[in-house]
Amino acid sequence: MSLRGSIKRWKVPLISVGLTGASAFGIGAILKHSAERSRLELGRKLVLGVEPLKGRMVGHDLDLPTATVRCQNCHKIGQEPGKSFAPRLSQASLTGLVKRRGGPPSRYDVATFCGVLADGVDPAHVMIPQTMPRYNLTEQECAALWTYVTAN
Amino acid sequence: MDLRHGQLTLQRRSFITASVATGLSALSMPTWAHNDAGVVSPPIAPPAVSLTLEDKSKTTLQALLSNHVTAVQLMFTSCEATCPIQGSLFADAAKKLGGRVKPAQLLSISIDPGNDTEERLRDWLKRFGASPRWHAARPAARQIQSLITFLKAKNAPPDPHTGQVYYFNLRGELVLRSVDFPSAVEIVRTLEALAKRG
Repeated sequence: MSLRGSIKRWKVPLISVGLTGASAFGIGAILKHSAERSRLELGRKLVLGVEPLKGRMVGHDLDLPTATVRCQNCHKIGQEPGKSFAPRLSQASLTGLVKRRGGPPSRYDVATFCGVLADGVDPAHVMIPQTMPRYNLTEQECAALWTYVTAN
Repeated sequence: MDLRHGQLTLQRRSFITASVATGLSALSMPTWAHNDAGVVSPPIAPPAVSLTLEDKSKTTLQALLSNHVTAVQLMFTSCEATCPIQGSLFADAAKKLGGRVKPAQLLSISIDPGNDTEERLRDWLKRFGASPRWHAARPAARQIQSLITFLKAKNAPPDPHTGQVYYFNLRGELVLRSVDFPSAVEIVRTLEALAKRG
């Protein structure tokens, strides 16, 4: 078979494979983007207390109402105007290498962020104030909060 | 081995130096009364403070405390950080009290009487769960400082007050300052103990 014949013979399958791959890649990207948007939206709702949050004071045996423990009561997010009662939450403040509460320089990642919400120990192993409730979040909720606050 | 010993000695020395420095800096800090908790012995009577309650009735702190065992907290209605926690805890304590411990009452006193009208105090109680066992009051503005000093309730910025609860006996005397944010169970248990003691 001539070269021309071979190309003709493989043209259709090659194009099909190419198109399938491209569309799969496109769908993958769309799904990834959609999941990211869902995480952002869930994170936003948790910060505002639109979605229920489980949080309680240290040593207490009952969860407080969501409106009492929502993040926005104490924290400004990103460039939100106004003074933040507790540390401002943003990508710069969380992932920057900075000294916190007198400890050595440290930065948050999703694991240490989820850790501080659950048990109050920051990435430099310093205990945060007892004024902040401790949260019982699912992995998904915690990842959504991290995605939202670090997107600002 | 020597090096390790040297490192340990150095670490120990650094630790001691840091501890002494921390102690000295604590001594030189302003006298914030954060978590100045514990038994008040002997019990002490509060200063003269005029109060207006959420139902617009006027009284004095002494009159309100007299013949009751009372848990007092300081708050202000526009506070969005710690005061909602305080409100939720008092609402829960009021619910847990129910009809028990007859002389027990809960009292939230505003440190922002200029803004906290009787209506705002009423709304604040409702927001968390109003109860006949729980009152909110605004003191006369000129008397707030003496009340804060008496309770040792001044706090480091940005929060101008602590999340402590101040307990008064049946004679209306201060007997105990709690740590920040005691649980509802603990508040009720303390009021029960004070009522039994008479």
